[in-house]
Formats: sequence, structure tokens, C-alpha cells
Amino acid sequence: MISTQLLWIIAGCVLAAYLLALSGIPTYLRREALTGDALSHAIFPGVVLAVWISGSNAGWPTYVSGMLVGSLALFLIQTIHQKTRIPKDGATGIVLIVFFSAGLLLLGRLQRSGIPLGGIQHVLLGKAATLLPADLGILGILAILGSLLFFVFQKWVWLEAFDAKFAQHSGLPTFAYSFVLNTWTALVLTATIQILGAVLSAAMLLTPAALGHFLSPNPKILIRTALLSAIAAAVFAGFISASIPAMSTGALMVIMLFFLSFPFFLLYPEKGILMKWIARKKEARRWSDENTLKFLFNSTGIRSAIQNNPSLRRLSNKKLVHQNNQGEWHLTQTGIKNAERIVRKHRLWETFLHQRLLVPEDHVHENAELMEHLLDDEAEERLAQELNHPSSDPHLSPIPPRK
Amino acid sequence: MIEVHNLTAGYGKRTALWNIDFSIHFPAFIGIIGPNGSGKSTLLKTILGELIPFTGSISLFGKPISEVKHRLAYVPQINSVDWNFPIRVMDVVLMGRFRPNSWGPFYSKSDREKAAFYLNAVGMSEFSKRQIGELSGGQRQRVFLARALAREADVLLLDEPLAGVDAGSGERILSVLSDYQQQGRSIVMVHHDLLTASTLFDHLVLMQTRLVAAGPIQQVFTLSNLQTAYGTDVSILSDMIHKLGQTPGNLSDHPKP
Repeated sequence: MISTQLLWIIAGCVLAAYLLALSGIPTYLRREALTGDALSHAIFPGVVLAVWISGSNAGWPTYVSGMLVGSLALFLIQTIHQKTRIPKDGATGIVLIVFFSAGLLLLGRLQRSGIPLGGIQHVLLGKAATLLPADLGILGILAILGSLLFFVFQKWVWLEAFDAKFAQHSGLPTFAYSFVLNTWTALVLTATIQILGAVLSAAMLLTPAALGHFLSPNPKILIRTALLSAIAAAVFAGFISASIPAMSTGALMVIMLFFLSFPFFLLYPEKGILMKWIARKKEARRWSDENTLKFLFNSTGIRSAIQNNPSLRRLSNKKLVHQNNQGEWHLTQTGIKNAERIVRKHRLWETFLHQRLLVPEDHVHENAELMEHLLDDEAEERLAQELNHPSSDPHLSPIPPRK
Repeated sequence: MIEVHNLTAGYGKRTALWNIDFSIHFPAFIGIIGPNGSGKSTLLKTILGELIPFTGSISLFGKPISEVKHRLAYVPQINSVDWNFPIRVMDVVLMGRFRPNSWGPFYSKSDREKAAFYLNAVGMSEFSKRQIGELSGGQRQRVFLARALAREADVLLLDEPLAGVDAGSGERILSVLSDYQQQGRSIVMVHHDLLTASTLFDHLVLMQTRLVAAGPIQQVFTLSNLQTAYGTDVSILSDMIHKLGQTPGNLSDHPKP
């Protein structure tokens, strides 16, 4: 049965996922994915430090410390990048791992110090069940504030991410904007670190926006997909993490999001992997059918031995070929017409190669074997025009006219 | 009026511009021309305030650049942004209507009308709802031009807007530019095609790391100046001036394309 405890956890997960997905959109659009990742790792020592100093896990010291340490990390990344020849992604990687290591050391010492830890031991991997009512309140307030800010400043978000220089010229205070956005992201990451863990909150920051962008370049659809997929993943993850012990909520949420995205990556029209595979398969069949038609066109009657040829079966379904009483395959009237078109394209291309590109006539066949499948009707027509509608190819075989 | 005084600028330890000094009154259609590596783009970047000069100063309308940025609009080279960015053509042009004090989430109706007007001016109306990733190079350049025009700034700055653009797009861009200039606004444009330069601009800044000449086109577009900038291979240059069938002094009287 659904208990209040469970609802509590799910609410926490949903708020956290929503907040991260929303804050991740500007970060993703600015191509600062790695910075988001670095931030989530960098605030980890900040949070541990706050617990150590204040002696508890609750309240504002955690947030202030998280934001301060996060800002320090960003400042270091910027400084390393500007003062040395290390590129930004390199600097980000270094700072990320140094801060994270510091956090691990601090956490190790803290666990031996006798200070009551609260939910802090879960700060690495996250545990939604350790959520306090006060935390939920803060998440709620942040979610409302974040939505408002995003709505009001959406023009800014798109302008700055698309062309920061132009934004600066138009009077957008890019430095302040960047600072506020990063501080906000650090704040959101601090607020969600207990549920999701330092390692995984970065994934929830960026994956929803990436999924949204994969599905559509339309900003509205991108935003909706990002937020809805994050919420859906959170509901599942909260449910499972509360029912099964020793399941990290953050890891569950990321895996859920992956499974949610998976069908899209596979099945999305034109872009999905499976759809692309099917399209390729279809193309291969078309080539083989066209070759079969051409083969029948050039020979008279094929014995029944190749009755089980899948290509013949498909052509027979389309009524392009039929089998007579002696078991021989023949082209139908439509079949002949289709075959003539393929032969025409083949021979036109051979003529073009020979006449215009001066390819020797015994070398033109191979290439025409490919081009006969690739030339569309318009290209075929132009080719014929260009060559003054020739009646025979370089081997003196007739070129069937277009009917 | 644009005043460039004693300007030296470059990147790191490399100097790309030496001691540039000129002033030109607005409104003007100014072409910055010169051979490759002569510092044309560097000069434009310095005027834009993107590059801090080593020495010297630039002023526009009698004020330093930082105080008049809002009166400038510029068209960057198209490879400066990611064209897979999730945004439609119309929304890019609307960015030209952005003002820092416009806090609302949406652009106003008059902003939308202005954006549609300039999108039409560059001949891209039918593409307004397309994703920017679907556009060709020339179309991208036209969208960027429309965005800059939509700012309705006093000075428009462009860095080789015709580079890599198909002939149709190029003609359209030039005609939009001369319309813009005829409204009393000014244009500063880096350009490398001498043949079109001779009929397009009314003022020229001819560069060869140092300034060769700057001022009204009749005074700058002379055989000896061009020789100084482009070297001693004069046959091409004199051929060209010949082909135009004019003495350089009359070139600027040619009808605008």
C-alpha cells in the first residue's frame, strides 16, 4: 500500500529531479556539461565541511558552504584555463577530481570523529529515505523560484547560450548572468545531493536536457521532454528505492531515465538506431529486387529451382513477376516497364562515363551497377538531356526510352 | 564620426596593427580593405571593443566605445556559433530586438513585426519557422544580417559578409546594405574583393598592417595607394581600374548595385 512515508520520498525525488532538469537546460545549452559535472563533485567537500563545522546536517550552513566551495571550484577552473595553456575541459577535469578527492578524505575523517552524521554518509550516493521535512520545504521553494526565474529569463537563456558575444553587445550582463547561473546550479546541487548523491546529480542535471534535444530542436518540446522525463524517472526511482532496501535513489533515477530514453534512441523516426537499421535493410532489399528485375529482363525464363528466392517472392507479391505452368519466372507488363527503367539508368550512366568523363568502355560497368540504384527520376531525365537522348550505350546495347 | 587615434593592437605578443590614425564623418559606408593578414579583422574587433588595443584609442560619436556599444550592431562570421543549437530562424532574428531592460519572458508585438520585416528584407521570410541547422551557408549569413539589422543601430559592423555566400545571397545582402545606409545609418565592413569595393563604398580604409590611406573613396582608391597595399604586381590592379573604364576619382559615382 502507498504510505505517507513513500509519498514523502517520491515527492522529494520528483522535486529534486525537476529542479535539476530545469537548471540543467541552460547549462546544457551553453555546452557547459562538464562544468555541471565538476560543480556537483566540487560541492561535495563543501557539504561535508559544513557538517563538520556546524555539527549537524540541517539548515543554511550546508547551502552556504556548498555554494562557496562550488564557486571556488569554478574560479579555479577559469583561472587555470586563462593563466596556463591547459584547455577548459582539462582544467575542469583536474579541479573536479581534486575537489572530489578532498571530499572523500574529509568524509573519512568525519566518520571517525564521533560527530553525529545525520544523512551525511549518503552524500556520496544519495538516499531519499533520509530526507527531512525541512529539506522537502527547501526543495519546494527552490522549485517554485527556479520555475519563475526560468520563465522570466528564458529570452536571456537562449540568447546567451546561442551567441554570448552578441548577447554581451546587446547589453546582456554576461558575466553577472554566468555568475548567477552557476551559483544557482551550485545551490540546486547542494539541495539535491542528499537524495541523489554527488556523483549522480550531475547526470540528472544534463541527461534530461540532452534527451529533450535529441527528440526535438524545438525549444518548447525540448523543455517539456526534459522536465517530464525527469519527473517520470523520479517517480519510478522513489517508488523502488523506498520498497527495496540498499538501493541508491540517484543511481535508480539515472537508470530509469536511461530506460525511458532507450526506446526513443531506438525507435525515433529517422534518428533512432533501430529505425535507421530498418531503413538500411529496406534499401538493401530495393537494390536486390532491382537487380532481380534486371536479371529477368536480360534472360528468358528462370527455372523453378530458385523458387524460394525472397526477392522473387517480394516481386511476385507486387505483381512484377509471375511463374508460368512450367515453373519458369517471367516479368509481367509492369515488371518489364520497371526493369527497363533500371536498364535505362544503367546504360545512360555508362554513356555519360564514357562520353563525358572519358572512362574506357570496359571500365564503366562496375560504377553503373551502383548508380542504377541511386539515380532518381530527375537526375535520369537531366542525364538523358545532357547526352542528347542517346539510343545506345558504349557497348552498343539499346537504351530503352522513358515511357 | 569615427576617430581612430594612434592605434596599435594585436594578439599576445604578435602585433597585427601598427599606429593607425584616421577619422571619417558619419553617415558613411566604410570599407576596410587590404590583402590577407593586413589587420582588417583586427581593426574591426578593436572597434567592436572585443580586442583591447596595446596603445591608442577609438571613439565613436565623440565617445569611447564602451559608452556607445548600444549604438552598434555587428554581424559575426557564421562559424562563430553552433548551428545545431535548438532554435528557429525567427527566434534568432528576434534576438536583435533584445534590450537589457526587457524583463518579460516574451518579445513584444512590435519587436516581432520588426524581426519579420528584416527577415523579409534579406529574403528569408519563408524560412522563419525553420530550424537554423537546416540552412545553407548563405542563408545563415542572411539570418545573421537580419538579426543585426533588427537592432536598428546607428552603426552596423560586418566582417566579410560575402565570404562563402552564393551569388544570389550576396546580391541580396548588398542591396539590403545600401538600403540601410540610405536611411542615414553608417556601415563599417571588412571586404576583400577590390572590384566590388570600388562601387560599393563611399569611404575606404586601406590597410597593410600600417594604414595606407583612409578617407573618401576618390582619394583612397588610386593606383599608387593600391600598389602600396597590394605590392608591385600592378598589372592586375591597373587592368581592373581600366576595366571599370574610369579614373578612380569617378568610381564612387557609380550607381549602387
